[in-house]
Amino acid sequence: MIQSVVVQGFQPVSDYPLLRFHREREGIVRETTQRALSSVLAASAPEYVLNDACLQEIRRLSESSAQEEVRDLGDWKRLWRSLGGKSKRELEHDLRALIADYTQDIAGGFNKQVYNFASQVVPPALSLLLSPEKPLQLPLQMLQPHKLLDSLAERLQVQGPLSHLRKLAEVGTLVCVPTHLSNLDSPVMGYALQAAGLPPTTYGAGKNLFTNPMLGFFMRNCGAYRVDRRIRHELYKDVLKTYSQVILERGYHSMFFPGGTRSRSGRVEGRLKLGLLGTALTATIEGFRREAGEATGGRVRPIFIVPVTVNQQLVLEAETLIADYLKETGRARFIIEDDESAQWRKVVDFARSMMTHTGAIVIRFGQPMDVLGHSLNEVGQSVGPHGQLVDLARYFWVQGKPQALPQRDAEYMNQTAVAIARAYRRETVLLPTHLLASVLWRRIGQALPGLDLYRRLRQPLDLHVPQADLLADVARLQTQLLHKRHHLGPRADGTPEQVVEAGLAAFASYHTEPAAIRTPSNAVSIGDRQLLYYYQNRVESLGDAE
Amino acid sequence: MSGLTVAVIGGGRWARALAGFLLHNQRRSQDRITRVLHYRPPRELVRAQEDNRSYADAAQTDIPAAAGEVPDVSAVDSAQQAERRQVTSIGVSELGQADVIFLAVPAPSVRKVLRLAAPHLHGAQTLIHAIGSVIPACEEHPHTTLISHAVGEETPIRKVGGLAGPALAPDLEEFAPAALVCGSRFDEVGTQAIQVLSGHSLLVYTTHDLIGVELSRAGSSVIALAAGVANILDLGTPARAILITRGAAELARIAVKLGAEERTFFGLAGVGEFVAATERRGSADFELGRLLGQRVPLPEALKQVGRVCDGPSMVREAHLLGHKFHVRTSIVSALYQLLHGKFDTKDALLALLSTDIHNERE
Repeated sequence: MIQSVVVQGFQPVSDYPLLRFHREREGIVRETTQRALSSVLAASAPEYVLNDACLQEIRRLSESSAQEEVRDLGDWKRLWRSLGGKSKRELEHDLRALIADYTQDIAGGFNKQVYNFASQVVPPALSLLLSPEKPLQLPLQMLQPHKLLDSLAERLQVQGPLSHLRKLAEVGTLVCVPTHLSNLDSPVMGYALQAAGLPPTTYGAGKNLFTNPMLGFFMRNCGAYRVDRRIRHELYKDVLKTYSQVILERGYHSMFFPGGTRSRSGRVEGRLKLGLLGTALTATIEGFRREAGEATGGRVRPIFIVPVTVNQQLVLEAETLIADYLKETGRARFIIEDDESAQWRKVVDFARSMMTHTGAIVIRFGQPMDVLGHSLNEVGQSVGPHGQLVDLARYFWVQGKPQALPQRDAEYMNQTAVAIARAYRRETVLLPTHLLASVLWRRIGQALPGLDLYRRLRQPLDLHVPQADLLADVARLQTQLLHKRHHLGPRADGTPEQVVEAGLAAFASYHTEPAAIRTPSNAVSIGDRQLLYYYQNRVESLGDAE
Repeated sequence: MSGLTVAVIGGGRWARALAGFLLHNQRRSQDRITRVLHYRPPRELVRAQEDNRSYADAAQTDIPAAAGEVPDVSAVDSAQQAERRQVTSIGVSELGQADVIFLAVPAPSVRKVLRLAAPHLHGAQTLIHAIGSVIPACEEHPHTTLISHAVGEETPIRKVGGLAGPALAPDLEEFAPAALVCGSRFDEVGTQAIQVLSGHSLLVYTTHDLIGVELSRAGSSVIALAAGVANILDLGTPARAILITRGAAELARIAVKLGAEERTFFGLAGVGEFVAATERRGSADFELGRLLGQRVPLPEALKQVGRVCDGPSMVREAHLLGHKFHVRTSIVSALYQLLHGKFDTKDALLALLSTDIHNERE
């Protein structure tokens, strides 16, 4: 019914909701502030909410240096000391002011000129700069920008039911939920959406990414909003969720990384964070309530969830992430700011390496679903298990009328998260590095039988796998994966020789110590075992199903 | 609280007992239940022999067809009898009117019945099943499936619950004191179960551990089977107590691997139900166990019981799952051997009652 399409070149959309963002921004901030305030006050008294926020922020700011904070330590201390003597009205005023400040801090921006520059000038410029072969042809290539783009399209492939998604983007609001491996994922997704002829989305990006002046400028003007993951108190999370819900209700296509953070282990995400994703559900219910006259406000277009896998032959931050994952439990960091993505040299090396490998990144869009995980037909109606139409509104009925019920909705969201995680495993595209790492990791397991993970990583081992054995392993793995209907990406679907060559070349081109090396005797010897483990985890996690 | 329209799907004794009990509750309190509907699926979908045959196929033995639907003899004099005639019988297309649906059909026909009903069901509905079995793996679905998962796969309904506990059909028919646990991930479902089911003779408890409720109920047929064997050999109450508690521990170990909570097996849904199911007047599986204990071959025993027996297929499933998860299963394995005629009854019983470990918590 729906065919996978590989996009070559651009078919950009010219009309999309973000174009009206600058006009609506103030209204969005006002609505978010008002609604966050009412919902917070409906659940708790202002002195408790402020007290909790103050104490958590005072503790955090006492322990770490302030960086682009909404309030500094002194402000928090003064506010906290004053809480006891204030009237309810004064407290509500303080709470409103705090929520308004947070909303202003979160709210993104969109500038068409900056977006057009970023999307039309940057990619060809990048491919030009990074083109490794034949530098003498540069002037010639500059005259033919479309050729450069073709070469970028070859490196970065986009797959999926794209024409279906384009239709859905016209009748509803898309919520893209990609897998997350690297800080490059959001720009890569930005490119993929454009290449697929899909509208740009707004998305939450870690506030730390905005501190880079160049990246920050683009992100601020390309639809990103700021998420400060250092702030742990509930009030901030409530404001953030309200903001997300408000922009979804207003029809802004969005993107969340439901893994919450980059996958440290390299595995495909199995457990998803439901916070922001849950706003797709709350916005949907709000829409039904407005339709039924239970709430006031503009019409909410149907919200469609689109699972996406971002599959990378090499991962920019692989070395840092896997090292962090392998640290003793409890010491792993939720936020990492000093990884490879913060080092220009590394980013350039990485990009150059990427440009030398065909199909280095494959972005695969999965089948879209409604907020409860139902399939969708061509016009965006929800479809049940045997193809019958399903009335989504009824799932939210309480005595015949749509209503939000937190416990029910949380459970609905759990089920949707399971559906997304299942889609991730189904839609993951494996590349040569994953296959090569997988067969070599199994060989390590056989050479060091009965040892736990840490010993397998550290025990001295000089392992050379003869070419013939390696090829047989790869062929077997390919057969197994295809039998289970997993997708093999460019080169990974080739002959075992091509897989091994492409994998080795990719490993050699970027990492400090390659994960595997060709020996003079035409065998393959193992290199950085942590990296082998990291890349093979992609394959291994596909078997985690159910 | 506003009244709910309740429907029961199923034609067997358990389904009829539920429908009768619901009708009784409706009489007592109209603002809890507005209507009780009863849908009997076509006979060819739910005949008892199919259940037994499907096990026979799996065990690769040839079993002659057992009797058809259960004769309604035992209920003739029950207190429900007069009321039961007044349950509204409906066609499948009217199922859409129900707020809460109880599903009580034999496990092998669950998918067929659900497929038939699916076009008429919708997302506002709750489905609570009262089926003491899981759906064994088959060609189309290569994994053991919980009934609740099958509901999700075959129908648009999301709010699913399961019932377990010490309440057999005769208890509902006679309004004898009994209790049920409704397991559901949704609070709403538990609230609805209490609203429509709880009455002067029936206590209804709720839990979020749906998987535990489903598996412990499925496990009760295994325990009942074992208790039947022990009963015919006149082993006495301690043997029954051992089977119940060690059986619960053994089944819980498997169930935990499938996502259940262990403690469910030691509550009403587990040990509570096991006690009731291993009584003299207990389930069909108990009768089957007694016949097997008398060395009646399985096909002949199934024929004699004449009711749906979940025991044999549940023993097989538990055996396979135990193997898959590397869980020690002494009682289940002994029953498995017994069902396959590989064990003399006496040896099997010795094996049933001898566990090779001595720490009770293991």
